[in-house]
Amino acid sequence: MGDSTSPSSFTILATGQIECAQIPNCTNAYLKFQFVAGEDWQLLDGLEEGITQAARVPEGRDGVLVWNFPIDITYKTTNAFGWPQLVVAVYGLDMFGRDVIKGYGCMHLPMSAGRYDLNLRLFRPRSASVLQSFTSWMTGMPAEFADPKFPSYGEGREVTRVQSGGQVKVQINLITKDMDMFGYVDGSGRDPAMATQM
Amino acid sequence: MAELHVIGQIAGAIGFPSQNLFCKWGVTAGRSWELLEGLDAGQTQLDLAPDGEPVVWSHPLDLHYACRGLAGWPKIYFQVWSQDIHGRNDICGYGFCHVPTSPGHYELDCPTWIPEGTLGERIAAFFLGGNPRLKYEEVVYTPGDRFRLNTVASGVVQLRLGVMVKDFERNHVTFG
Repeated sequence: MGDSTSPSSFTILATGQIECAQIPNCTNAYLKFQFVAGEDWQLLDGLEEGITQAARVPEGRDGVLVWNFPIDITYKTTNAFGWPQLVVAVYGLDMFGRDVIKGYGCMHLPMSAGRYDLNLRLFRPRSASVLQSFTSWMTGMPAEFADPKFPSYGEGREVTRVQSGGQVKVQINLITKDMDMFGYVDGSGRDPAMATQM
Repeated sequence: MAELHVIGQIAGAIGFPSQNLFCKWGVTAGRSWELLEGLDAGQTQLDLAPDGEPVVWSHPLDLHYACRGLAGWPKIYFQVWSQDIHGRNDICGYGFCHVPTSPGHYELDCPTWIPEGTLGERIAAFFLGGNPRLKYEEVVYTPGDRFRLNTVASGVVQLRLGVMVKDFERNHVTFG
């Protein structure tokens, strides 16, 4: 099985779109997204962060905000730890026309090749007191996370109080290359590693 | 040496008596498993969900284990706690779930339970809070002596997991 040109890394390619969102009491919003990956991961191609257009819910229809924003990203890595996560932050307009946070969401990219419909449920920080929630409503500055990557962290979450509501639908197509050479079996059933006997 | 990657999230919970919940979680594995990278215990955010909707934690899990023996396949265990309007925390559910032994994508629903006290204790807990709690929390995930424990079912914790393995087939392990 020794191949003199065996690859030193494997690659994943994710394409798709941030399709739409459904958020209660929100008729006008845009979304900021970011990909967060571990230290062993190297971005080969594509944009790691971006902003969609501002979308509005059409009159007389179910409250769906459609962005249809393309995602195209390629990563190279030697280690599956730190698998990329998609972190989104949806900002909408309050009644005075100011940008306020409507929700954050986070999900790992799929781990095996295929086509997926991901549903990211949104949550946003709660104000610490009634007075703070009133002043944040008046000034149009509700509580936000200081670090936009915070929803992707596994620690430090125990001190956050949030409320949830709304969801974002993302479609992702995932391709992997050279994962089987590394010996990874991802359960897609297409792994040559599973079929051969060592 | 065989390796196991568990990558996903503790998505949320549904069916609990309260909609203001957080979860303390941990992963336990046998002696022949070594955690190479990742956090194997933690606590999620405290989320208040609207009625009828699942509580959202979206807590990322990224674990990288090295495996020298199959016994003691990793298990994830949970303690779901609720916070009332006065800021008191009370236990709402204990549960555990094995990491699936076959690589792939999973949406798991883990049922939970809480210990049930006597009638007097339940009446007191209704007014003052303070559900009975387990003294030895390993009871949740070890097949030890639960004989004298009376429990009542609680809600369901939802997990979204991806399991990936490396070099297991070299050791002639089949997953099915």
